[in-house]
Amino acid sequence: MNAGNAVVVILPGVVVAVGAFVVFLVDLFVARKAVLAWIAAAGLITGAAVAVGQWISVSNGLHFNARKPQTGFAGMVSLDKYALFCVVLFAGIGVATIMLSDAYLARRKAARGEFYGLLLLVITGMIGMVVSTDVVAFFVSFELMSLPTYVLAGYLWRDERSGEASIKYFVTGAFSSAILAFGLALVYGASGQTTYSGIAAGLAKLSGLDARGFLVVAFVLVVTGFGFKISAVPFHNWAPDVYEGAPTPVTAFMATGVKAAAFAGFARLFVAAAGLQWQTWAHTMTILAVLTMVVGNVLALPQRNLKRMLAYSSIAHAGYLTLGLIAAGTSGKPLGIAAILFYLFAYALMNLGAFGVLIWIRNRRKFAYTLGEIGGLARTMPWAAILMAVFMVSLTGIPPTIGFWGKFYLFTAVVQANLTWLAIVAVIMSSVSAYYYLRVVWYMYFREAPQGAEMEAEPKSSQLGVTVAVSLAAAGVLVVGLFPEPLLKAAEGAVRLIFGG
Amino acid sequence: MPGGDFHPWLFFILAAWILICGLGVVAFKKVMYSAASMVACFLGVAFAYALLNAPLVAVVQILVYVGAISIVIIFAIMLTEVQDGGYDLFFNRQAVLAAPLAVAAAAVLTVVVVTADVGQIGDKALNPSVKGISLLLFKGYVFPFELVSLVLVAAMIGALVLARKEEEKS
Repeated sequence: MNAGNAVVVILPGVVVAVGAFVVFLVDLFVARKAVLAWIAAAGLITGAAVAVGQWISVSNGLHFNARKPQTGFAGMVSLDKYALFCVVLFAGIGVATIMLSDAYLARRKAARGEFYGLLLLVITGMIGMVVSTDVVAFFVSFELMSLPTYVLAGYLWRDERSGEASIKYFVTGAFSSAILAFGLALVYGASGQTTYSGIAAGLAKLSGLDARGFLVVAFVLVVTGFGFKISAVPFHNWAPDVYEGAPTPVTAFMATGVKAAAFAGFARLFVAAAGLQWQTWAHTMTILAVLTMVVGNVLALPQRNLKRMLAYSSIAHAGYLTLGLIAAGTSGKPLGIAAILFYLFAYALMNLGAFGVLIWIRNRRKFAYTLGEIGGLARTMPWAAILMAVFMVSLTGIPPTIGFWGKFYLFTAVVQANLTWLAIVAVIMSSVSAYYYLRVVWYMYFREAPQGAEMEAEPKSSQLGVTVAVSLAAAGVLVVGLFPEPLLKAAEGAVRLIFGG
Repeated sequence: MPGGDFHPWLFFILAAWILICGLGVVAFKKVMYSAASMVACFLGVAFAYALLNAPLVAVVQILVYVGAISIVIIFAIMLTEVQDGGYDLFFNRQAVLAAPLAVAAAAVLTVVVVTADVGQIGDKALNPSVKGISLLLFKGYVFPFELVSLVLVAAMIGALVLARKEEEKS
């Protein structure tokens, strides 16, 4: 493996990182800061285009061996369809976040250059998490994703709640990173290797020894770090406060991007390094999934603040997603992971859309994100109300939306793994969630607008980015909802190689 | 006892030293005492590395942590005129629940790590030479090594963003 090939393996990530530095540099010289959004988006789109090109190369076996992942840097990174699928997803989430942010930041008079630059660095870290096949590279990527996110959460630190969100996220996040590092150190201690395949081989050698308790503890620590990032119960307490306090575009990004990277990255780590040891972490994962689904959905019921409601809803969705890992671990088949990839895509579309509508309203009038304030939205902002209704229906999981297919594939994978009781719990909890999602629709269409909800005559900055992003998300929710096959085929193709089968 | 050929008691004395200093960091009321306690803690960790036959890591620990980071922290304390904290921050309502859980977690970890039989696989990483570490850092681990530079840039720019005063003019 020469150095040139190794760089090809991580090329999408390199492109995004270069994009971040171009944004930082151009920020110094231009007065029209709106340009920066275009540069940042161009960096992400170039990264995604490179990934798509590599996907085609891998599929056709043009430059890469289709049967074997291309590795680099002493087996620390791997170029395969799994990573490439995730790169495209992350870049899409990033572009959507930029479209949602620009008018919001301009209105708050916040500096945009550093915002977009840090956002691109977060996405570089996210890409690093999915291309890594080594726990050291994985952990450093994890930190590259986490550190700038703490800053973004506190980006509007003059607003007391944004500062509070940042501090809370930082303290709990730093603590959970330390626990994750401890867990990974124990895994290394047991296997003597840091690459995923090396760990799998090293752990397999332990079969004769009395190491089960040791491995359980190690996995519990790793799962704790994972559970924190995906806000799984009982590591979820930071999420509602941070989601409420952080600037809304950052909340949208944390709920979709950071969560997607945590799931995709840890799924790879769990399956590739510890898949054979499934028995040692099955119970931890099952408890985590059930608690997360139940607590997330039940606590979402009384929320009157929409950002908090979406925070608890995102906890609940983390619970559904964990089912995919359990299905893959129990059955040893890749369908559960493919369902996770599909669901992450679906969840990104509908959640970015839902937060986008909130940002849209916030850019047009005084809005404290409470349920009462969206009363009568169907008359004041009819287009926004229709799109919000689409996202709420999709989040509930009603056909013909992408949310239905996401849940359908996940629960199918669970049933095929002979865990029907888990699927039943998930379905019951989904129907509970209908209450708080459809309540939003009911308020928009059947409640009167509150006093003082007048529109501003003409918003100062262009709303184009927000409206286009939200409309595209809604189109995606419906189009993929009607034709889910291609995306599912892509997700299945993405997991085939690295998980066998 | 893994690694070096020193007496186990030496390690236990050192561990006690590190723990007491660590406790001092959170328990001292005056923030400057906390900082001094942290320097002592770093020093203890450096000795631990030296005992484990990792002289290079020990020297780096002294240079980076005992030297550079401690000075920066003390500068920060002097420049920001931090107020001394009270014990209400140290013992709050959560401590009642957290303390037993923390003790239980520590007990479980200790028992499991001490009793588990995971062989001696980790031994080969011991006795690293400067040359060996350089080779690891710039060949096998060059990817995370370069990635760390991005983490540092992100941290630096993030700190600047949170610390600056003026808003965007446009």
